[in-house]
This record gives sequence, C-alpha cells and structure tokens, in this order.
Amino acid sequence: MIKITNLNKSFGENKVLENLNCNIKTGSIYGLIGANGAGKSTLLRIIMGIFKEDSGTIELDGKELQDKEEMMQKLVFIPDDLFFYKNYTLKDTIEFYSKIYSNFEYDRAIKFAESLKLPLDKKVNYFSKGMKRQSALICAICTNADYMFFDETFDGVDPVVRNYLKKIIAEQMEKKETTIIMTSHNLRELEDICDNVGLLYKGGILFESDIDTLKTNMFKIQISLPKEFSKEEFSNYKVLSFKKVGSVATIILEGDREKYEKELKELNPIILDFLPLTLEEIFIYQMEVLGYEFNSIV
Amino acid sequence: MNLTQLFNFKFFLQNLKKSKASIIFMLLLLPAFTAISLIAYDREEAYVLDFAEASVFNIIFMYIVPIAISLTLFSFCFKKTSCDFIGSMPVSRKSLFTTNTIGGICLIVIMQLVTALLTLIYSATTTKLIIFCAMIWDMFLFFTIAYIFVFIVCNLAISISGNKFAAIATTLLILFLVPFTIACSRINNNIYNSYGYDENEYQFTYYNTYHFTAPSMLFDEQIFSGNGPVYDSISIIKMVVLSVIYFIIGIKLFNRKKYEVAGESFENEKVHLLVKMLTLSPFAAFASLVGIENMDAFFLFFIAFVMIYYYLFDMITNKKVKLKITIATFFASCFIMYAFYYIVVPRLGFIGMDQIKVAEIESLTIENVKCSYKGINTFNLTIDDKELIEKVLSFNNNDYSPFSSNFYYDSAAEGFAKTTNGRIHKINIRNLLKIDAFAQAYGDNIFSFNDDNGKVMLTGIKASKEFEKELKSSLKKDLDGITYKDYINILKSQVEDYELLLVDYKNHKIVKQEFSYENLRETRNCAIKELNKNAYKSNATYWNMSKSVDFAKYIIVNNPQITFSDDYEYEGYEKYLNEVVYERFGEEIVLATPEKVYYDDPSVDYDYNHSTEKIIYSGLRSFSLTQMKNYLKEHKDDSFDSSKPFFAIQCIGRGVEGVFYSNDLEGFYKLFAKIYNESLSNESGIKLNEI
Repeated sequence: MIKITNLNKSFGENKVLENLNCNIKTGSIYGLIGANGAGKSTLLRIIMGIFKEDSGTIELDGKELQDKEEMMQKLVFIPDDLFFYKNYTLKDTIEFYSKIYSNFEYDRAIKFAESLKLPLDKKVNYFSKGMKRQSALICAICTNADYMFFDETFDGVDPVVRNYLKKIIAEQMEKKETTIIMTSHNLRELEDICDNVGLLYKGGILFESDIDTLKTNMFKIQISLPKEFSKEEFSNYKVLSFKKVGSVATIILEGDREKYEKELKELNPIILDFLPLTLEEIFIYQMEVLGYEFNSIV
Repeated sequence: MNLTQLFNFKFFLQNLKKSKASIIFMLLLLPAFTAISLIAYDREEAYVLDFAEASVFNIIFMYIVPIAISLTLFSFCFKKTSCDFIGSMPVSRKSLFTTNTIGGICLIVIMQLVTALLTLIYSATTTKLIIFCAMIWDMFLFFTIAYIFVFIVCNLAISISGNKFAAIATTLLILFLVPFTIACSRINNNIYNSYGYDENEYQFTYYNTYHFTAPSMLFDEQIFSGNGPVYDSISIIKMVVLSVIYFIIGIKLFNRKKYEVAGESFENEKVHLLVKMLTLSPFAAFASLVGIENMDAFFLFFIAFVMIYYYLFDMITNKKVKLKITIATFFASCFIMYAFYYIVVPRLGFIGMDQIKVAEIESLTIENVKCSYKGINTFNLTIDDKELIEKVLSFNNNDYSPFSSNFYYDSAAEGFAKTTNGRIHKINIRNLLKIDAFAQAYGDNIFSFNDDNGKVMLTGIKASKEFEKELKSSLKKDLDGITYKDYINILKSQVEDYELLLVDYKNHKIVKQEFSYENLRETRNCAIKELNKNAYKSNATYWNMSKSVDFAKYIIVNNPQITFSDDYEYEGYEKYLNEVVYERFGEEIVLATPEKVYYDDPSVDYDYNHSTEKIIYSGLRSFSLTQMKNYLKEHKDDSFDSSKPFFAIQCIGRGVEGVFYSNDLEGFYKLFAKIYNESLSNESGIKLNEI
C-alpha cells in the first residue's frame, strides 16, 4: 500500500503539491489524471525519491523509502520524457536493467521485444517515440517490481500496441501482486485498465474513486414520458445532470440502477434507455457536482 | 552501508560501458604523451630526467583528465531525463556517489600505474635516458594522489551544481581560490618589500612556507621561477586529508542534491551569485595590482570587462541573464572583490619583516646564479665563509651585478631558528654582488666545473655489468672517505672532462656531486680501459686528436689534428691552409711541426666556404683509416696510467663515438709520422719531421 500524507513540494515560488493525501491499495492500478503541470510527474518522482519532498511522508507498505536499495528494488519508474544511453541497443538496455534489477527476467524481455517487433540490435535512440515507450515499458514490467509507476503511459503508442501493452500489464498483475500508478491527461487511455482513478488539481487529489463503483453507481438514461415533465419529476433520485431536448430528456443518475429502473418503468415511459457512461463523462458530471468545470481541470 | 552499496560494481560497469570510448581516450592520454616525451628526451647523450621534466604531461593532464572522468561518470546529473533514469534505478544516492568515486579512483590508479610501468620499462630498455626508480615511484604516488584530489574536488562540485560549466567553475574555485589569494598576498607585498644591512643586523622580508596542493603549485614560486614542481610530502598529506574531507562532504551534499536543477547552474540563485562573484577574483586581483597606478583608465576597462564577463558567465552556466540581478550585484561584486584583494589580502599575514644578526648566519645561498666567468652556468651558490657573507650582505643595493638572482640564507644557529619559528627566509635581492670582487675571492673554485661532453662511461655501464662492477670497485677506492656513498649513477664521466658527476635521487630530489679527476685515478684508468675497447669496436671513420689538449697537465701534442672525412673536393688547398693556420695558431702548435699539420677548428673563419674537415682526399683517408684501425686493434688491451704522459684520440663514426687513450707516445708518433710522410708526401711533397 502506498500512503501519502500531507505531501508538499514547491519549485521556487511555485507550489506544485500542497498537502496531498492519498492511499493506493496494494495490487491495484491507480490512474492519476490531471492537466499538464498539475503535478502528476512530480508526485511520481517524489515517490521514487528522485525529487525530495519539502514536507510530508510517503510510506510503502508502512515504511518510508529513505534511499534504501532493498526497497528501491521494489520500484520501477518510466518517466514521461524517456532516456536511454546514447550508444545502447535495445539488447544493451535490457541487459542494463537485468544487471541493476535483481529480479529482472531477461528472456521474457527479449520475448516481449520480439513480439512487439522491436529490433534488438538497433540503438534505442534511433527508435520512434512509440517504440521507445514500448521498450521502456517491457523493461519496467520485466523487473517484476512490486510498484510500477508509468508517467504518460501510452504516449505515442498506437492503439493496437496499446492494447498489447495493457495485456502485458494485466498479465503481470495476475502473475504477481503489483501496484501500478499510471498518469495521463487522457482519461480514455486509462478507463479500461485502472481500478482506481484520482484527479490531481491544484496540488491535491480533488477526487478519487474506484472505477467499478463509479461505473455501477452512475448511469445515463434517455427518457420520454407520455406527459409533459421536468427535473422535479425525478426529485426522488440523485440527479447529477438533467438535459431535455423536445420531449426526450438525458439524465445522469447516481444510485442503485435496478431500483431506479423498476421505479422509472412504473412511470410508463415512451422511451427508457439505459446508456453506459464513459469514465470521462463520469468525471465531467462529478466535477460539475463539485462545482468545477471538468474541461478546465483536465 | 555494506560493501556492495559502497561500490556497486554492476552499475559502475554499465556506467563505464555507456561512455567507454571517451573513458578509454582519457585514460590513454597520459601514457601516450608520457611515451612521446620520453622518446623526445632520449637523446644521443646520456640524460638524467628530473622530476619536473618527467612531470610535464602529468601536470597538464592533472587539470583535464580527472575533471573529464568525473564529468563523464556523473554525466547523468546534468540532464533532467538522465536524472530520472538513474534516479529511479535501485541504486541509492550514497551508492551512486561512492561507486563513481571509488571507480574513478581505480581508473586514475590504473592510468598512473600504466604510465609508471611504461616509464620504468623505457628506462630499463634505453641506454641513454636515466630515470630513477625512486623518482618513478614518487611521481606515481604524488600524481596519483593529485589526480584523485582533483577528481574528488570535481565530484564535490558536481554535488552542488546542475551543469558542467557550473561544476567546472566550482572545481576551479575549490582548487585555486585559497592558494591564489595567498599567492596574491605575496605579489602584493613585493611592493613593500624591503631589506637592508645595518651594522651587524640584516633586515629581511620572510614568507611563511605554504605547502600548495599539486594543482595549486601553479601559484608556487617554484613554477614561476621555472624550476618546475617538486615532490612535497606535506602537500601529499594535505591532498589526502582534503580528499577524505571533500569526499565525506560530497556524499552528504549528493544525498541532498536536487535533481530538478539539472541543466541549471545551482539550485539556489544565491549560490550562483556567490560563485559568479568568486570567479571574479583573478580579475579583481589583477585590478588591485595594475589599477593602483592607472586608476581612472584602468577602472573603466575593468568595469567593462567585468560586465562582459558576468554576461558570459550567466549565459554559459545558466543560459539566461537576469538583467536586474546582474546589474545590482555587479557593482557590489566589483567593489567587494577589489577591496578584498587591495586591502585585505596584503594583510593576511603570509609575509612579514624580521631581522637577523649577521654573525648568526652560517651559510648564504644565491639561487640560480648566472655567470659567464668560465662557461655559462646557472647554479645555486652557497657561501659559508663568515667574512664573505658579511661582505655580500653589505654590498650597496645600487652596485651593478650580473647576479640577478634570488638569494636566501639558511641558518643552522639555534637562536635564529627559534626567533623565527623555523621559517625559511627568502630574500629577493638584486644587484647585490660585484662579480669582480666575488670572482677574485672564489672564482676558481666556484666556476671551474665543466658541463659538456659525452657520457661514454655511462653507456659502458649500461652495456656491461662487468664494467659496472669494476667501475664501482674503482670508485670505492677513489672515493674512500668521501661521504657521498651511493655513486651508482654516473652521468658525466668521459675522461677528458675535468670532473666526474655522480647523480642520484635522494630525499625526492635529484642530487649531483662532482669530483675532480685528480681524486679519481682508479676510476679514470678503469674507464679508459673500457673506452679503449669501445674505441676499437666503434669502427670509426673520423679521428680527432685535439681532445688530448684537455689534459693540460699532460699535454704531449698540443694541437695536431688529423681529420678524415668523406668529402675530398678541396684537393690542393692543404698547403695553403697549413700556412694560414700556422700564422694564426702558431703559438699553440708547439711540439708538432707546424707547417706540416692540419689544424681544424670550427671557429676559424676561412676565406672560402669550407672547413679543413672537408679537404682530405680519399687516398689519404683510406690509408690513414687502415693505419688507425690496425693501431687500435693492436693496442686496445694496453695498460694505461693517466699519471704518465699519454695521448687521446677521439674516434667518431656514424652513430658511434669513442676515445682511445694510450701511454704509447712513441708508437703514436710513429703512426702519426707514417700517415703524414707516406700519404702527404705523395700529394703535396710535405714531410713531417721525425721525432
């Protein structure tokens, strides 16, 4: 478990993280979203010990990191701006990781590289942006670290490879209880892989939740009743959003879907459709409830 | 911290691998240039390489290689992306710092070891270049520690800086600021330097001795005076202690290093300003010296210069210029630094005035005396005659003297040592001595040594163990009772020279002791025996008998010289030449019949463009060569006694040189007459009188 308590970090006058508190469960994939400059990368760097926090604590399984190599073996980080040694081929890079990480699976990494058709003997610096990202990810996964931190995880990766990488990540989760934090400014990238999502805004976690709960408890309906109706007709429900065009209303509701469905059917609707919500839509409506405009945050 | 964390070999190997080309290049620089310099010093004549000469490239690369190694090993600190990469690896910061430091030290030791071995092997295989093993060890020790010191200083600088330029600037400040300030205090004080003789006391300015670290020896007077660096044990201890301290501070600072400032100069604007201001010190020191006399004009120039410097410093280290801060700090920096070097530095107490009773001075040394009394020589002259010491000190400052040299005295008197706390007293005195008065008193003894000619004996020693053994035994007989016992290395010993020069490396210095041949009869005879063998072996094509004149006491043939060369285009001039030569040098040609010998002297300015070396024709040459060879072969094993009259023939061939000595005067004159009578008579009708 990662427990972050009252974390503060400033760069000069610029406060990047301010009293940030967050708990990330072991064995989960935590999606951290936020606009550019929200502090996502800074948070990951502080967890990794690359940046020093101004104040606050970060505990991994109840212990502070404190520059200890034993603990550092349990962590791996892929930053947004990737770095590879200038003259290293992918094979050299994999070898580098294998020398540094005690649990690194060399053969598995080679196998992944071959599956992704990454040239092993070509210098990584000559790779495309997406290929570099793939190389970094396979190296990170093969470390078998307990905690993996991926900044802008799928940046530059095409959809097919993205799915493949997600599959690899999922396999890794199955293989070993791993805690992963992924950051992105694009919710769609994370929604089908993350268990939890947190929204970083103005140096703190503005909102975080379990995705399954979010998706189960929030739903969108399109409804048309035989009579004229307004928002008040639904005052017994938790309405997050109500928009009516003509005789059809689109409503975002939060609550027990089965109960709502049963009750709404009793109104003899002309149209009653339950539509799935994307994670982005969930966030938009949640932010609206909190009084924020989502697009200005992410 | 366990051993693996102290030195993470796997990480270091990967760190090396990523920049193997530049590391290998840097490691090869010193051995390669050392090899080149050894070849350059390996001349035809035997040569003793001293510490300063052997250290030239070690000194140059001391400012480059350790810094370059440090910057390469810690290159990840200068880019944000590489900081992320390395910072996220399971290698702790302490381990990163200690691994790179220990690894870098290993690289330096390997490089110095290779250089030392190369020097050792070269010294062992060459016959001409003498490099003392003890000196090679001293150099290895001194420069290994010096390189490690510079390397650790650079590591420390990297711990607090964010880019290469800032790291280099900080390194230079740590290395040089203090010694530079001390050096400036001395330079400044020369303005107020005073000395003088008053009745029985002598006033002088003293300097506290300061043992500079090797890189700071740039500011040492030794270097300024052209004497080169010297091995300094205290400097070594100082470097070791400072290295340990800097290493510990480096770990602490690196552990707290903010990777987020990678690419920028320093994490703190105040540190940037401080470093910028301190790097102004050389210019401020210069201004404090030069500006005294040219206040207005110079200050305008100084201010303009500093402005440009500040701009460049900011651009190079930070890639941005903050105009307001630059201007605000500019005037303050100028004022503070100038005031520091003009007012504070001269009063730092590295210099002072003292006085000594002349009677307490036991010896007086004049450094680097340049004298042309007999030959041109530079040497340190030590006077221990009380009367002369007083005379020297009492000379009027305005007296003319060719001795424009440093002059210091050293007193063994306890009272003096106590009152001055054992400081070395060095006085810069110019124009103190009158050469005539001095030469009259001490000239012959002081200026009599001869500083040229070959190293035949040395070559012999190197070539033959048997001879070396024999020579040492002879030397023991000759030098019995002389305190200098380690006369293993003989530099200058060709027997026609006046002296034998014994060279050794003692107490980290090349020491030389000269002996007159008057005291070295056994040695001389032993050497001549070997020389005669070599003369026969040398297969010479040129003989020069003028060498025999060097033995003034035993001159047999004053200047009869017979020269044979390949060139014979000047047939027919010989008769004319003999007459000219006789007119000019008749007085010198005493025993030999003047009109029938050729006199060869490069200084003779003949009317036509050739020397007598070129006037012998082939018949004579061929004949004389055969005669000489036969003679040498027949007499090569003759016994020789230098106390009896003898002659010497210098034998010169292509790439060989030897001298043949013999007491067989009768045989020599017969040979001489034979050559002249039988060959010259055919060509010119000249006949040499029978002796």
